[in-house]
Amino acid sequence: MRVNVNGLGKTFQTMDGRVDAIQDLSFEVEPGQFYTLLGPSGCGKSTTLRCLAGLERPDHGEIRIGDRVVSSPTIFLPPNERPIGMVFQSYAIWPHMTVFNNVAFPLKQQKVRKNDRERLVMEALALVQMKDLAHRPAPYLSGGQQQRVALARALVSEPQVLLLDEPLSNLDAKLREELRLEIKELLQRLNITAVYVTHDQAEALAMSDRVAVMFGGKILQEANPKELYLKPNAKFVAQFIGQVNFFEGTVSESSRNGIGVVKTAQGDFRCALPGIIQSGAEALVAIRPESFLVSAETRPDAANVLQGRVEKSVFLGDFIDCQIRVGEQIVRAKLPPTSDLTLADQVFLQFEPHACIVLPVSA
Amino acid sequence: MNGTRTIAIPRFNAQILRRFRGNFIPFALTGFLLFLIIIPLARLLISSFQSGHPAIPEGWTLQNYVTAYSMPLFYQALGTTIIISAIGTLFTLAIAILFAWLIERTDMPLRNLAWALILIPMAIPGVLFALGWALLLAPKTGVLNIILRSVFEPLGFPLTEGPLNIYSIGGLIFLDGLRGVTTVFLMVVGAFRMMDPTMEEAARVAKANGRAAFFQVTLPALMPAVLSAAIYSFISSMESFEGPLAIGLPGGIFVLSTLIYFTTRLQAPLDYGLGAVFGVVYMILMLVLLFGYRRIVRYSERYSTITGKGFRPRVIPIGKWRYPALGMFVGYFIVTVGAPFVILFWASLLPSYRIPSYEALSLVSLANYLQILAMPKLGSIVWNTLLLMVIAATVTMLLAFFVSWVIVRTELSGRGALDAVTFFPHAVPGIVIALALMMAYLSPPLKYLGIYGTLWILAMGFIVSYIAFATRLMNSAIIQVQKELEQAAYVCGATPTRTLLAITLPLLFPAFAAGWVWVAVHVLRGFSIPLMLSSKSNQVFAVSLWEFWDRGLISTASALGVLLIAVLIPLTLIMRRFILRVSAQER
Repeated sequence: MRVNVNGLGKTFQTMDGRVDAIQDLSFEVEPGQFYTLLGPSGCGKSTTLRCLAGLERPDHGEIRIGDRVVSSPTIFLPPNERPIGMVFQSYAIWPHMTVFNNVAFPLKQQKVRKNDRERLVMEALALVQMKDLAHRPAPYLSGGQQQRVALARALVSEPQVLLLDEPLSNLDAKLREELRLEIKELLQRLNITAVYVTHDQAEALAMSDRVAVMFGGKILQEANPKELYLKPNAKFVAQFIGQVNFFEGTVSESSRNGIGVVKTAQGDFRCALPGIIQSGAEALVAIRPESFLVSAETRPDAANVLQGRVEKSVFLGDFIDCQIRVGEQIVRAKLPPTSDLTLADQVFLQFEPHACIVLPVSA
Repeated sequence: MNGTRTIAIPRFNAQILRRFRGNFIPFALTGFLLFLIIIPLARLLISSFQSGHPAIPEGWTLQNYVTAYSMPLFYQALGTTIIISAIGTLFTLAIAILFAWLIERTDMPLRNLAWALILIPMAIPGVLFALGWALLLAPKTGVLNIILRSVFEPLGFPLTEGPLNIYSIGGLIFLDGLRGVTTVFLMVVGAFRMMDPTMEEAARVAKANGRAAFFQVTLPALMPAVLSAAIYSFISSMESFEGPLAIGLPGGIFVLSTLIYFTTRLQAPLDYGLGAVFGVVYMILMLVLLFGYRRIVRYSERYSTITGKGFRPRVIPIGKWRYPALGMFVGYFIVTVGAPFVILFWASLLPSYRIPSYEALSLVSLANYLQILAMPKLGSIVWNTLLLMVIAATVTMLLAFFVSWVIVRTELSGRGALDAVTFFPHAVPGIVIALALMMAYLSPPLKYLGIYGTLWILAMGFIVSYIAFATRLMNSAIIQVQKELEQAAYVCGATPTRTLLAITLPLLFPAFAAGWVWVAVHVLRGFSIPLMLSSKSNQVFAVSLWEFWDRGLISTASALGVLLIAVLIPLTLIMRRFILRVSAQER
């Protein structure tokens, strides 16, 4: 089922006056797509999801689920009449019921017959591997188990759209990674449209078909995970997803065969440059730590070379997190764990033009 | 299905209700509460400026106020009320704090048993407690006085009466001080338990000995809890009616509550206008106290020494004082429960009251109980009492549940006022509520509802009396229920009404049940409201007990009292279980 959001706006009244939680937000989720709203807390992602669920009434705009308008200035469908399932951050498993009764609740509201209800509940519990614990009282579940029950409860009535509000943020790191894959596979198998809200960029990249990065109530960029990582279109996006080093500069030579030159305090960088950026424009060059080749000597054919001194290095197992002083600036680089560079070593950082992400500096 | 759609609008409830054309539900609720609470009190105020019977007023006048302020008895009653309450509260505080400390913090033996027993005095209605002590300490016939005299006589002090007299201000202070201990204990014991032990440990490390640590660190840190308990206890003492009724009136000692009772129910001719003036003055006094109480409570919440951490503070060994401490506790239990109950039980077994003796033992029988069982009115009295208990407890709790939900969960503009309206009756003594209801339903237009003289007016009185407590309880219970639990139900397809019934109410069942039993116990125990509003057709257990006593049928009254206590003790223990469940949930 397709989800359309058009021109959505929501303002909250707070003690300090009016705050725009979301402004003029539009996006579209394809049927069967795993769509993620990613952003720091307070960016409006949860409000957007709650508008989709009908737990919040938007002030402007329209929401469509399938062909049906569920929210507009004149129409407002309450949550109990929307074709949705939802998983809450706190799971919201009702503690006065057993696992079975929690999952059976949506079916009871739809007046599903008792026999069918039992079958459907057991099927849903089987999906999340909780069949054996069906008759356990809810307070006796671990965090991961509660999460599975919440998922079963959201899926049991076969909703057309599944909404997930930071469902993994209360779990420990290991379980989180396990469940990440499990949920993704399950939703793929059921071919269900999902809208997922998270502040965890790794989670967003690992699970989503498409990600919208939100900040200040707006979507800054919407793309698939790979594009988002490799081609962020704004400083905030580059910074929020993965680590990045920034170099301020001016375009001194505009794009020729896709390569131009940006003049920075650390020297001239040969960069992959979009054609629209004119010579003389101010620009920000973003380079990921893993894009640097760090070595004691330089190769003559390198496109870009920086020279610096190792200031700090932290061994993290799968890589070495290295801070290198280049001129006035500290540059972070990721080195393979086998690297034998030590503190105070003079090193060269080499990088390809295609590793440079050139962002326009807006006035 | 359009009906359900209009109901189910989130953010949430504000919008639901907006759809009901101008906030129908809180409007209706506030209206109902105003009807219950404000209208009678307004009637009371009006009556205080009218002469004649409230139903047939003879015009506006200030005469009632003039009369009141020129009456020495009025000032006397006011002074007596304040003196009894003040000294009684100090007495209560000293005992309650000592017991809270002994039970929570020291190695006194049998502490768990003591914790359970300390609630039992709640099961003894105030009037029975007073009557029991009247039998024990009446100047001539009191059992303890007779024993004391037999001790004094050989020492060369022959007395014909006394030496103690319960029918005195001292007697009232004694009863009042003991009555308050349970409540104050419950109010401060949590603070003793939750107090961060590192604060005391820091004092010990800083070279303070045990006593210095207690008086210079522990007690000051607990001061806000103690202070708010003290004011609360003072307020309750000011409102107390049963002791002054059973002990004060026979001794010619008036307090404000009994003065109102006397003016509007006993004296001839009855003077409603004057009674209304007393009621208004009483209410204003209590409002001032309550205002102070709320300020102190608000202030005490800023103290952060008492955290929610569930640690067990260090137990302080009291060595050779362990058994004297236990002895003191046993003594308290005998004085508050044992002695009055035993003497009432004794009286209930005799054809007419006699001082305990071997000769009297041969007269012991169950005749009084059999006589009660054979009483033709018994059926209707028991039925009335049970019906009143169930109606008052259920309506109070449901109303409180719904009002609290509107207050806590919605963003309606009127909910602050709703909250204030529900808290207000806390300041109005039961006797004043009863008086106000009486006046309101005796005079037009409410007269035509025909409620006066029925069980309904009693139920109203109890609902108004306990709505403040019940909404406080429900407010904090609903805050504990995470919002997402309700929202999850909406998303699962449930309507708000269905969600309230299937999710919210079951989740706060322990609090609801604790409140229900609390109200039920208070209805069974309550004397002031039934006594003020009683007539032939709405007699309840408490009133009929008092009538027997008043007619001098001490034995029959005692038998009724014993039966009442037999019902109240298990109810109190049930309440304790629910209270423990509520506090376990909060952790």
